[in-house]
Amino acid sequence: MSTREQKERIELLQGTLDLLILRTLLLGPMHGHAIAKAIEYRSDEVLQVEQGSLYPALHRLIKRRWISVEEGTSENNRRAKFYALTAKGRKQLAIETNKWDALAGAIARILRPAEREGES
Amino acid sequence: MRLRKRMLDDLELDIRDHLERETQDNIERGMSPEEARRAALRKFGNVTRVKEQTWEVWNLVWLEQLLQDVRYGLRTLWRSPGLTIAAVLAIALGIGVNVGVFSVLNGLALRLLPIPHAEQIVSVNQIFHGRFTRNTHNGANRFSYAEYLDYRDHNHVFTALVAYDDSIQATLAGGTARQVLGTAASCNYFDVLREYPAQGRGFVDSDCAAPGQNAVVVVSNDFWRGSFAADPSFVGKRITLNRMAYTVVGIAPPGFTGTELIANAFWVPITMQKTLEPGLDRLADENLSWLALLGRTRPHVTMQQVQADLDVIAGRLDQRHPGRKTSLAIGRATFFSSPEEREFLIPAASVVLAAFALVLLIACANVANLLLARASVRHKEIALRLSIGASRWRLVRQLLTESLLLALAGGLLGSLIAFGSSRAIMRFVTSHLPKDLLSNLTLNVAADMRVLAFALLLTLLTGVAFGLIPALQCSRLDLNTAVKGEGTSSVSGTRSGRFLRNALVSAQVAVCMVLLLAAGLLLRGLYYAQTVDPGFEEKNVAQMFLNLRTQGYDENRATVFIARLRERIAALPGVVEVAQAECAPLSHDISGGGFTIPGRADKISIEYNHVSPNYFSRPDCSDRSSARSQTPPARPRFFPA
Repeated sequence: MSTREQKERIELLQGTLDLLILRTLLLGPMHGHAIAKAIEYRSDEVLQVEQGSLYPALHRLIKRRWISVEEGTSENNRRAKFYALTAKGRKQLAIETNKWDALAGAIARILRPAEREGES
Repeated sequence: MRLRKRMLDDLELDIRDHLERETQDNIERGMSPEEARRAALRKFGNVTRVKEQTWEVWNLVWLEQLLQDVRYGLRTLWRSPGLTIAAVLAIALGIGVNVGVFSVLNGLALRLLPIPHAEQIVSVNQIFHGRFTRNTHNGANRFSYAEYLDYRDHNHVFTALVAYDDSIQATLAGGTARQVLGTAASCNYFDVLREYPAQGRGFVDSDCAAPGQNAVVVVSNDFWRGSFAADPSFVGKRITLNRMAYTVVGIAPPGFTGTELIANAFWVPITMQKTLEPGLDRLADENLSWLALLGRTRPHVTMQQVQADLDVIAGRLDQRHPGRKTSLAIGRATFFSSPEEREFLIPAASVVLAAFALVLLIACANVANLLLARASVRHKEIALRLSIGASRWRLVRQLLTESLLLALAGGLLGSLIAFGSSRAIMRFVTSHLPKDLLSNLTLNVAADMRVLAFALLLTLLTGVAFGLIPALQCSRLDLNTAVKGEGTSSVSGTRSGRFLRNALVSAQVAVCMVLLLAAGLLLRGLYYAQTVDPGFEEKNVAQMFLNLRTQGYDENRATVFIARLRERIAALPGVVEVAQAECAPLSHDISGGGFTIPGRADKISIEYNHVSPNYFSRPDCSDRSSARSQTPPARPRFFPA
């Protein structure tokens, strides 16, 4: 059953996880588990993030100072780390989003040339 | 840094927290606690790998892994001492010979002259093009005295320029007369080289003021100790060289024996050349190559500037000699600076280096084979590590670390042997050279930074060379069969593994054959050279060298002396015959000259020997008929081709 389930889901491209984390944190500070759930939920569960890979990515973003981390208490009164977007991260998100749009557009144009020909 | 520590310290806690939340969510979805936990773990992925990857974000992980690999590698090597010793010895041999050869080459051609601030010293050599005649003494790249004066007075790049002739043969009188080798040098010699005499003084400008006027000499420390028992009041005394008394003005600092490979015993002002070599006025010959030039550059002057500045002077000199074009070869001064010497050294060195590189290659192939064989034993270990999630690159790195450890051990051992034995090898080599060269070589073959860097580079290359193929090979496994235990028959059992080992063995045999053939040819050549029949019996022939001119004999007295000497030698019991020649057979002496033919413009150069009539008819000449026919006619006739 699990194999079939995984086939329907799409593995993430290298580097896109960073972009997704930054976009998710635009909504406000969150802890790790919440970020994973948010990504899954907002992609209609198509994107299957191996939740563990979130942590190297978070640490990478912290090291680059695109996100910050602070201690806080979660909804059920447990101590947790909350990750938040920094000003630098916000700027980076804009850059990365543009890049992604350009990439996605280019790939789409190659994969579906017929549509464009039809337009012209 | 604090951030890194805080993040990593909490990592375990964060992951556990994450898993608990996921489990809780799963339970809320209606799973049993156990099932919920399993699902959470599945969704999270490999916890250990996540931790490792997170550590890697903060870097320095490679260092820790390296240390881990080194520790593990050492343990593995320790566990199979037989293989380790065999591999280390093979590599030590391969690297040792290469480092040894390189340190000799380094001493010959790369190491700067052993004088203070040698990096400022530039060797200047000229290479002639075009059709013209030129006289040569010592080397074709050298300068005449007039040319030296031009370069000395008109350059803008040197603080000073030195000229010297390092091949002055002199007979030292007093006690038993003996031949010593010295240098005639421009009077700035000791100041420019900054080898200020330890006692007394070097030369001053007035010593070179007029030809033949200042009979002063500086002797080397070795000469002073060896021939004058380190006489403490030696400065100011007189010694006799070629029948002329010279006042000792200084004793060179210990260890300084000139700037050439063969040590010099004394130095005289360049203006004394004709006095030491009567009948040969080299100073006056504007077309004679005999002086080596060394310049000390001004601060911040580059080689390009030196070249450009001196080229102007060379161009001006060429205008005075129609048909001649001079290019200058300029470089940091070493024992082998002149193009003539390098032309000889570079091909010889490349052949020797190539041969020893092949030895190293054989050693590499050998060790690679050993490692491949062992890989079959380690098959299970590697399969296990792959199956619990080690990446292939990580395994290759681990295996390469092991082979680098082997290479380092071998390289260290080999280099130590090379450094320790280089002196002994030099002694062995020099003991097979002609006697007059022996003990006079100033070559320094000790290790310096360049040799160490060479040894290290060679070691690392070796480690990768013999380690990479086995590492790649044995990390490429079929996990299924390997873990089930069916694969114990190993890498060597697979087709590609067998092919690889066969290829290595064939390569080894092929390279061995090449080396053996080359060595065999060399030995045979050497054997022939020593046993070749020169056309006359070498046994029972004694040779004796005389230089009467330097001893003040004129033509008439010399003729009388030789005639009487030959008479008295012939009268000695056991002497069959006495012959006389300007150049002894099989010696390296050459006399050359040129002649012109009426109707032809160019000069034809020729090598000749001046011999007595019975030179070819000595009773021990085995090929008498052809020898006789070569006897020069009384009046030479030449037949142009």
